[in-house]
Amino acid sequence: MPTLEVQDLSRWYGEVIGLSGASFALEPGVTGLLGPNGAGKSTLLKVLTGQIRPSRGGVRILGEVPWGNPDLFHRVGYCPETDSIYPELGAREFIAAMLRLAGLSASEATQKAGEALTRTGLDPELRKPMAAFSKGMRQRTKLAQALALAPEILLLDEPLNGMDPVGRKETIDLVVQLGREGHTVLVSSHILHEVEQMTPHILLLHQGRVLAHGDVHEIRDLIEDRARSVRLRCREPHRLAGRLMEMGAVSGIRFTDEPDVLVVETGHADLFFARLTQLGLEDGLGIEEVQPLDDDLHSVFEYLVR
Amino acid sequence: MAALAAGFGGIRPRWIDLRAATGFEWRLFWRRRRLRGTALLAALPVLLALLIALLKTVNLEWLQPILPRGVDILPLFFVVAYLRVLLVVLPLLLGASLVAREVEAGTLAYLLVRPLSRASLLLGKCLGAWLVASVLLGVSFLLAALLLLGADGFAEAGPSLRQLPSYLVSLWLGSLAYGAIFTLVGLTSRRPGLVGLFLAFGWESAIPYLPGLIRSFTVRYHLVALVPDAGLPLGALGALAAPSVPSALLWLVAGSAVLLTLSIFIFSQRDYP
Repeated sequence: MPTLEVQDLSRWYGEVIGLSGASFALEPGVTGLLGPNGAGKSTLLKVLTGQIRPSRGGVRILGEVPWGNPDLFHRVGYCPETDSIYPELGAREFIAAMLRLAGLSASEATQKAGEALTRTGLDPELRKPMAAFSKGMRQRTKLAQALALAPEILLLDEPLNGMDPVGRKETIDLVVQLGREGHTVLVSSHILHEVEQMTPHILLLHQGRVLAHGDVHEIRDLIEDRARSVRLRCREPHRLAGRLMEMGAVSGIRFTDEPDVLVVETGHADLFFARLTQLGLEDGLGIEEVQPLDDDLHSVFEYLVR
Repeated sequence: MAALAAGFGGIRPRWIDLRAATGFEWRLFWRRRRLRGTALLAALPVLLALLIALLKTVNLEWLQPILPRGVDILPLFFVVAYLRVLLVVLPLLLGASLVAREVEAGTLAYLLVRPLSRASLLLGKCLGAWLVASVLLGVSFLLAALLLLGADGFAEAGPSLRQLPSYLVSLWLGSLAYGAIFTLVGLTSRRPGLVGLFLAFGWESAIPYLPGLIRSFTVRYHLVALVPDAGLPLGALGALAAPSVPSALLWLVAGSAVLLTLSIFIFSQRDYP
């Protein structure tokens, strides 16, 4: 059962198209929202959070339309992309203020704000104003305000921007954990390997259109007009190369500097892997390692947008 | 009715949300460094009153005759420092930037994704700003009045002291009306400061030269009706027949309500990309 549905969603600003006919549905778990600058990621998140209206099509979150529906935001958390804060407030004070706007009492808000900050790795007792925070600390604070009401849906716009490596790792782990807990998390990023660490499930936007949606490996498999590279380590690489050529499903083979490694290119991944399994069962070839070289997110992204 | 509700995004302000949004704006004001300058503005008349009071303690023969009595100077203070300047400037600074400030700082996104209606959010922010302006104006005026009247001893200040509540009501209603005007200006104009200044010092000052009913579309015309003092130094405005107190109250309250409703409608309908 989808928790978030987008149907033929378009949004334009005058003559500029922000989104064009986007349709997809998300279920609980983490989905990476990917695309180059200007792809429409932030526009999509703003429509989803009711900040702007669709020009055409519609959006449903937990079965409800977000525009003009404030009650829905008890169940939706949003971390905006912009590095905007209330500089005079402390982190806990800021989050507590946001929670009081959600109807919580002062004591309840302060307690929940502290819990959310702890979860994002910030000290809830930190007194200094946010103006004195590093960008990473501000990102953690923004993330904490999105988490504070424990919403079922989390929409995170570039939450890793400006974080140090430790912060990135902790935030990635947190997003993964949130997905495991059953939240529907849509997290946008242009840093591909980071999204890959959070989830294999991606939504690719380009020029306002949904270019691809699904598991990154499945998407890669759908790309039939490009050869796919697979690195094979075996005891007898030359014999293996010969057998592969005989069996078909291979468009090219090259040997590397490593004597026991060859790289195979195939345009028919399913067929290739099926035949490789058969070969693996043959004595003497000694296939030790099979590593697809280009089904990582970056390759998928490159293939799809160019 | 359904169409009207749809126009407001299908939502109406709720008391609990309104209280939360008012509290948010109120608390935020006292924390904002930039806005603390606004509070300093309100302190200027108090400092002037303090200076006058101190001068009265100086034993210089030539000085004492030229220093006015507190009961005489208080109406002048009210008109010049408050009615013409602070009462307009404070709501302009607070009201015109109510939403623009959040847009500029990029913090509006946090507020728009809270579980409270845009109507509650805007109305709450307006009420918070009005409370701030009312406290600043009220405390400032009371301190200035007490300094001016007390410098001569309170013995002869009885009538002036009894008029203080009228002055305060006039200031509070004035800040409500000006706040409503400048909130609408802030939402509809790209240059709210300029438009606000024109309205405050152009339109409002042109009252005496405006024909008939048009005068009713200014705030100051109604405010002077609330102050029971024929001795106010109002210049050309004093020559006009003031409206009745009920009429002035009705215009100020109803006018503010209409302007705030318009602002809520615009805010509820607007996209904030």
